[in-house]
Amino acid sequence: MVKMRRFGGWGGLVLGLCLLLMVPAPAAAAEKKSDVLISGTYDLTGPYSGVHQLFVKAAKDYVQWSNETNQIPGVNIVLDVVDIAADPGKTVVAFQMAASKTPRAVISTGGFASHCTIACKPLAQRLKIPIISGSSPRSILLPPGWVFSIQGLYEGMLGACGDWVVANWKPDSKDPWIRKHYEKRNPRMAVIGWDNTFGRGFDQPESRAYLKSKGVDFVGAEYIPMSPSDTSPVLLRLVKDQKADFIYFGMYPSSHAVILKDAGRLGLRDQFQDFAFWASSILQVKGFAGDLAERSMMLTGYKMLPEEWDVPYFLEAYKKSGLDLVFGVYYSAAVAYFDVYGEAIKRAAAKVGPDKVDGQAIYDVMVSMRNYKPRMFHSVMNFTPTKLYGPDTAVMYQIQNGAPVLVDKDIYVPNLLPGGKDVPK
Amino acid sequence: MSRRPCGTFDTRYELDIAVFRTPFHWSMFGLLMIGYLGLFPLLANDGYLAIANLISITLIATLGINFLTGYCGQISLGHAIFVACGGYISAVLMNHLGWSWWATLPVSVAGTALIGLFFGLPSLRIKGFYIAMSTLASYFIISWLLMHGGAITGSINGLPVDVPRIGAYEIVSQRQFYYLIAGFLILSLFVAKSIARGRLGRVFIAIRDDDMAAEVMGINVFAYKLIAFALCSAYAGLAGSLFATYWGFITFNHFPFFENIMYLGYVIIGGMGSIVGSIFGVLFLKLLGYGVMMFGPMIGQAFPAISGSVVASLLLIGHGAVIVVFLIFEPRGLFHRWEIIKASMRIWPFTY
Repeated sequence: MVKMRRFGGWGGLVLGLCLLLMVPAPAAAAEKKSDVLISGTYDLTGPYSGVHQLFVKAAKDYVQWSNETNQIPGVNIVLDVVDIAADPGKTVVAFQMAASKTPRAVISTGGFASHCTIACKPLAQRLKIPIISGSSPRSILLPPGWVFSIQGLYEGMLGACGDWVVANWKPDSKDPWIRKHYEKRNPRMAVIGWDNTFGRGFDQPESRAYLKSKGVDFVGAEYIPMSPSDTSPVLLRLVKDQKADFIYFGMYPSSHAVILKDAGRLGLRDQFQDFAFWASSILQVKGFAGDLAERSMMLTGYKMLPEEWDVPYFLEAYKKSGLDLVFGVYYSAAVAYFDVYGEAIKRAAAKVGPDKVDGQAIYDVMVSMRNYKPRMFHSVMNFTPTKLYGPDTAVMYQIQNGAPVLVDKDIYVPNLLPGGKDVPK
Repeated sequence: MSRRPCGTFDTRYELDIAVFRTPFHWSMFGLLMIGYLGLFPLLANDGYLAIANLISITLIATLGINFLTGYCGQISLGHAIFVACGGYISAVLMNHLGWSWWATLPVSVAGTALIGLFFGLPSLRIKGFYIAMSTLASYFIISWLLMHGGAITGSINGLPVDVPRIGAYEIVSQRQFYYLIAGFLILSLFVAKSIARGRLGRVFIAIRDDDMAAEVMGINVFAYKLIAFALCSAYAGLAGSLFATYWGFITFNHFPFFENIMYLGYVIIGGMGSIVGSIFGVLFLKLLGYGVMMFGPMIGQAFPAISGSVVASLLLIGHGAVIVVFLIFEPRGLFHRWEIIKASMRIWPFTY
């Protein structure tokens, strides 16, 4: 009896060991992942904080999704979020800190504001950490360095809107406002922008020449402060005196709405068609300006409507956050940015190995990235060593009956940088 | 005796204005230099060196406004744009005339001093808040000119600025910049301290305390006010030129209006009319800002229930609160607190 018990004890032990061997090994044992650091410098307490806080939420969701679903074999993305408050000095410090960390950062967001990104441009090349950002003024893109933009070219945005205007400026246009206001002459276009590098980036000699070559009369550009109080003189000059039909708004929604409200007060709202900036939100403009934003248009690459979002995970995460869908465009934009980072890391890891991904490897795959369509994004990305902005096409949204509607797709965004292939000779 | 004992008085003017009065002072200064020029750059990583570099350049600019506002009593709300002028002068000369950064430096300092002198001219007729408004106007006038300067200033696109070179040797890394900037900072401090202790400094103080009394004493108040403007701008020019080469680029967006207020803040928090106060003011506010930047996310990670952005905002509010508390409880600035600490050390272990 005692022997049987002893045997039973040993047998149980052997049986237990056999069972343990049969149990599948935990995931960590199966694959050891290498940490790859992304330096996320954002303005969380400054003028861009409203948008950037959504960017951070999206970035964290993307990193979690990528790591959980093993999107990049052998790589665990680590996101280091730093608040630089739109201060170039702090952006430089955060960049240096990211370069001094272990593991060293392989990508930086560059502060996501033109003046911050430009302060890091020489450092990016020197320290071999590419900045992949959303700023695309020519001072950042030229001369080509280690700063990439996932946004269309500013001059190109104006040119693309000009192309759309030319294509639709006809008596039987599908656009009711054009049908109502059509006259047999060239359409007239103007720009109102913020009085800074970003806002003044659209009206350049090359974009004016491009519009002229396409048969659009450019009638002027006016600039307003970032917090405008009365834009009546600007509207009177452009709409009443110069009789602009189409106005490109190089600014964000709060200022866009102020201009629409002033136009409403002056009785000029029906006299012009407005285009919002690529990374603005006509839904938010509508939130601020109400019915005055009806028929406002927006040329962009971002997927504004949640029903267009191609990864259900992000739709669920966004819905769970309880945020209004008005801000969805910013969320999808930030996911798209991170999808480009993820793709670059994936390609670099495949090329040099997950444990050897560094800034140089990321730069190498970025300059050879062609026809990559990021998730949550309409356009495809094409980069070369001299063309450091990605999208060449965009879509057009319009507010119709109070809701955004996708009205046109595959609109070409011309390369209007000095010497660009679309600059008229 | 290592420190100055209680009850020891200066018997000559030279003793009264001496910076280092005892061997203890000299040894403290020696230790400080060993730490500043020897240990810190060797031990700190590039991130901390970048912080030190930006603080040092800001301190050079602050020494300038301390002369104008702290010593001479002229409030300036346009200091940031004079810093920008210094940077732009270097950038324009380097880009359009092919000068080296070293060659542009004296022109930058002198040119900015002249611009400051020009915008100081209204001080002949106006003073107090009115001169503050006239310096505010200088900010908008100059920023408009920089923005609309066409190819000369790069307009909205700004201008690239090359790194300093000594022959074939390039100053590129944070450590190399640290030594360059530290050299200029020590020189600036030496000049500032010399001016403050000399006749010019005493004239400035006389004008600040009572300009009419100063005039009655035979001081040409207008001329000295202009000198204060020029001196303030010269320091700004040096700082601007250093900023430009350090960043490798210059655009007017690097000098937002808020910077003008911050420069005044450094002087007020540190203690107006004191070189040491300027150092304390810049160190305190800048380190508080970088602390918010660096430790905000760490707190966010330690307490995941609070998002990083909320923590950053809370710390920013704390930043503001510290300044308010300081102004209420120590309106004479950090320098005054430092004087109290030194006095108590002198009579230690007695309380009086």
